[in-house]
Amino acid sequence: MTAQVTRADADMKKRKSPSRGSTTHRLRVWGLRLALVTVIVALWLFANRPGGISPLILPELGKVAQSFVDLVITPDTWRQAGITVFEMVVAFSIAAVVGLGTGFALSRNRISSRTAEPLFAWGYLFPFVLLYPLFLLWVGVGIQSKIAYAATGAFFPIAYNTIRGLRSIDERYLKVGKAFGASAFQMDIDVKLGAARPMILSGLRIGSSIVTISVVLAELLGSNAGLGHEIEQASSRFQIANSYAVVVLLIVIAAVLQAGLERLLKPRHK
Amino acid sequence: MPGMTLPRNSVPERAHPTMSQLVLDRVSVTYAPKPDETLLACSDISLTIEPGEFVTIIGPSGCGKSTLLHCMGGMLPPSEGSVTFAGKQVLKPNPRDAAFVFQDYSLFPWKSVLENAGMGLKFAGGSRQAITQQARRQLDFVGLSQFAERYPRELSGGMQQRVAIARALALEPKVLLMDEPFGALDEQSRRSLGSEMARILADAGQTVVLITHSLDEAVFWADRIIVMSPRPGTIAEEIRLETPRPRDLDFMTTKEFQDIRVHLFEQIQLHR
Amino acid sequence: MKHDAAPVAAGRATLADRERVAPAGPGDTRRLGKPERERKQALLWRIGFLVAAVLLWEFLARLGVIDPRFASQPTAIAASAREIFTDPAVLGAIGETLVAVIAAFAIGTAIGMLVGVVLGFNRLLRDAYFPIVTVLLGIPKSVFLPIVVLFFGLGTGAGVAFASLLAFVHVAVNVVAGIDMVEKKYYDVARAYQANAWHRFTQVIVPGAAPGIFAGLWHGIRNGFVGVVIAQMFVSAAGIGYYVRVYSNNFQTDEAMALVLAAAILVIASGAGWGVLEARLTRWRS
Repeated sequence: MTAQVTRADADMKKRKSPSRGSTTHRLRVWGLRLALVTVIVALWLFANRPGGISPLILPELGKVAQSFVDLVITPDTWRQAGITVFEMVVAFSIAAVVGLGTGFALSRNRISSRTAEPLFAWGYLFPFVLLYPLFLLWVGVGIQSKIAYAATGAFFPIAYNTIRGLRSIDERYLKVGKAFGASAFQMDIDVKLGAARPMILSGLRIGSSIVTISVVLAELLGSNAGLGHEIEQASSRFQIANSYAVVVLLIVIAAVLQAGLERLLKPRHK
Repeated sequence: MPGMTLPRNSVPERAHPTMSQLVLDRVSVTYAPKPDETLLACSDISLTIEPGEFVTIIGPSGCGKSTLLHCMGGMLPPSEGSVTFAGKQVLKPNPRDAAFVFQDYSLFPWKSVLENAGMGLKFAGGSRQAITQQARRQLDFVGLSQFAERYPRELSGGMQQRVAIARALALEPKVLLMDEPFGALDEQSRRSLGSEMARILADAGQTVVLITHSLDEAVFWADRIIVMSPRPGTIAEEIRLETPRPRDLDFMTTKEFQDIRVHLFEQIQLHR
Repeated sequence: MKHDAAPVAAGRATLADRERVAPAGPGDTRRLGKPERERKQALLWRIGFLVAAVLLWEFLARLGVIDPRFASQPTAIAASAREIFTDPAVLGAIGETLVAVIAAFAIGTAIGMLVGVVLGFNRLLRDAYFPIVTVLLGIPKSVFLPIVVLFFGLGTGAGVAFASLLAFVHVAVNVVAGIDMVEKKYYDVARAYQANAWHRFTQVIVPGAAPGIFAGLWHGIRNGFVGVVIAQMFVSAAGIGYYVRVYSNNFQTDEAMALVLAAAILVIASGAGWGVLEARLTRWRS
């Protein structure tokens, strides 16, 4: 139900293609990407023409680039970025540890795992964003409300996928664990964690994407620091080029974090 | 049949002390598939496995052979009767006494070959270095030392099963319990791996209980063949072979082999 | 190998699979009849848990351990629910939200399916553009919200656009993965029997990719809703999101909670309903 397909899986499939490694293929791929970028830039420039889209909606490409450069060389930007990244990392760590722990604990017993599974699925569906104004009341406007809100949202898919993964483990592996005298803890670490790994990883990936969305959203909706707050400030002052630049920076940061996570989660075996 | 057939349930006298005998005493196993329904998988089985013996169990599908093997290894408590090893009751699996080799290999695909071979040792506890050393020695023993760093999916079925055997042997178990270990292999690898393993195990003096569907396997390797009846499984017959192990492939052409094979075939047809 | 297969599969199949795998060795028939009992037991526990949670909430609020002004309490929520759900303005907001969600779901899913199918079948386009879609999956889509608002203005339009974006990404990624899951041997069979393109598509590809497509649509529902509500909270002067924000800012926690819970029940019911539908349509798989 909540499964998600990931880059790693996609890459794995891609290797099947016989022509994939060939130089012509790679050239074509990059050619197509270049074409897409060219089209976007052309459209943007075309929209910027006199009588086109208002610069209050779509600022000139050059101005956005200029703002981006300004942004990158301003030390305060990196302070704000640091706050945002800190919130994301902490929220994700909390959600991951609590989610995995809860999933494993509940999976020790078949009834408790079956009881909890739909509850976690519902939690994943629950529109937590609607509670964000209340989160502000409960934990304040500082970073703790962002962390609490993002971690709560990410907890559910992580716990859900962990339980799902653990519940659908092939009995053969459990049999080996039992026959070779594994303790309950060894069973968790050496058998179940390995066997349920793909499902657990996909839960962690969903969780990470919820964390990034939630943190930025929370900063946009109500905060006094962070890059989301910067976007909000720039928009409300009609410094549109500036908001675009912050958006670009955030995308870059998020992509880097995502790549870091992928590296962390990458299986050691091919 | 020439006088190689023993009356059922008899315990052969042997010179070995009873130190590490595996004894099944009037074992029955009942399942409850539904709350108001019971199913007798095997019934009133008494059997003693002597140290150093190679026992094969053969019988029609669903006769409770696997159930019996699981009982021997403590994977499944008997509903009635008892299983003892070296005089002590077997209540849970203890791989140092009896280690399993399963039909489907059941290697962990997320662990390397070396880690898989050392898995049982890891569960038993011990220093990482000692585990690695012993696992390497066992991989060497089954001829896979050059594949230590590979992952199971890169290996053929026969090689995977060798790793599973190494995993079991690494614990130096007193008895090796093999549940149709070569059942999933093709005819060719089945034969070559089978004869190789049989030789290795015989040379090591390893006590083995092996379940098989193959008449050839059952006869070729065994000191003693246990023939089981269909469900509820009971011991229909025990056959002791006179030719000493390890045997050459020539053994398959002898009259003893052929006679027993024909007899087994008839027995199994009879019970079908 | 099975171990690394993309876990797009649907929930229902899992239990059946497990029960089928379980017998390995002696357990042949041991577990028959047990799942049903387990299911009921789990259901009772679940109901018990929810009831206990509500009671605890009420109890703690009455004791003053949690402040009802901030966290509300179940009885107060029930009381205010009667009021707000007869208020035409609120009902209108719910209606507006639903229309926006359906529109976003339709747009996002249609584009997502189209892109998914094209990328799933064309190796070149896929190598070129699929990484972009997966990057979109990983980055916070909320950064686009201000831009979406600039383009679509304050209102439901922004909500629909934003939610379509969310739904699109999830649907496209899952459809591509679903197509990947169709094993090559089925294509070979189809080719061996000289199936034409239409038959290949309807008889081989659609059923094979069904788990991925279903997962994609499920994500489409969830993200369509979340996207609309987010946009409403952020900018719009209409819809559930807007009312929740207003109630919360006015410390009308009871009303806010009532609306949040109603919205939650709505999404959870559609998600669960989708699950049932999926189980029905893909029964052949288990």
